[in-house]
Amino acid sequence: MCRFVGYLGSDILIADLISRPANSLIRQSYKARERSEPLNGDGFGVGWYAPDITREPCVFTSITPAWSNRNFINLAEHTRSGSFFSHIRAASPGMGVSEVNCHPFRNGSLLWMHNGTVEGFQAIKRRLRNSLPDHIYDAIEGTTDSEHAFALFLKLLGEKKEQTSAADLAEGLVNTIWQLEEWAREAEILKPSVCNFAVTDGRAIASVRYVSDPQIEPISLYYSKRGKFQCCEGRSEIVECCAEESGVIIASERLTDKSGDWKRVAPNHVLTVDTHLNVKVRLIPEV
Amino acid sequence: MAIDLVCGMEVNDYASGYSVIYAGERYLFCSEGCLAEFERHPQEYMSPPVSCCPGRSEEDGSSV
Ligand SMILES: [Zn+2]
Repeated sequence: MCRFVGYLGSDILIADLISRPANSLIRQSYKARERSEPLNGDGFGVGWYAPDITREPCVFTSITPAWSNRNFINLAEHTRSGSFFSHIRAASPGMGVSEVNCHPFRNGSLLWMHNGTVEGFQAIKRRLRNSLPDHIYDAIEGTTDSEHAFALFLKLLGEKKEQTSAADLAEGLVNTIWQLEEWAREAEILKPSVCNFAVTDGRAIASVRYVSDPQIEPISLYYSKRGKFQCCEGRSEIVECCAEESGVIIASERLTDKSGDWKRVAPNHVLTVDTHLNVKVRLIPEV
Repeated sequence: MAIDLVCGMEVNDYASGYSVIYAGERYLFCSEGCLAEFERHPQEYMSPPVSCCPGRSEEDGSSV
């Protein structure tokens, strides 16, 4: 079911979230705490923004497990960014292990990642693809439900793609979920989808913790806001800091052991982080 | 007006049905999802985590 982290704030080392915390993303690749199957070894990816060079993020993906890729760890120890996504993958059956299927997915200035499964994807795949304009259809490189959900998001975001606010990203996520649910109903797919999506343009983040049936516990998703990560004498925590140094983290699992560092994203809510690092959470209305 | 302990939103609809009595108090929620989440982890929501930056305004919970 994968795991991910996302960050927006002052520049930090990518390693501050990927490899240094007690429950870092790399640790979660072999020993995830909050899923029954602890292995997430079917590849990984990291996408980060360097706005002084270009608005488009750089993306590095690999099909090796994150824990054994020395290039990933080395890169994370030498790259600073104020906005990045990283994802470790546990491939769903039928979704091939290849670099083009590794998250985060990129389109223009946007990055997208997914933790979960669009249930019955094969039954709605052709309909989804047929709904896409050519330029979005042609940009699909892989075979996953996640990348196709991103393509649908891009279509629903429409003309706003080049100038997005946090609210635009959130609205696009909600519309994507509504459309997927409508198609699932029409295809008589009874099993619930689990869709923890996250999207960013490098200046704002929107993310959802979603499951079709509200009685079922969705996959975990947390956020930590307006602190900075610090590792001191082997103990990692989020510490209070001045506004210039602060940032907001979203993460499938708590990266540090101090539970007070983290809040759960409420089930079936959409979370936004705007350019000023204000965090808002609102309910996804039922259709 | 009450605060949904799970998502932080303001809720005022006693007729919504999304409520639970816990330790003798009635709590209201915005949705079935938040009610179910509270019932799974009541202790976590009864003692909300300490903010990492006390004194700063809490932005989450307001509607977009
Ligand atoms: Zn709620």
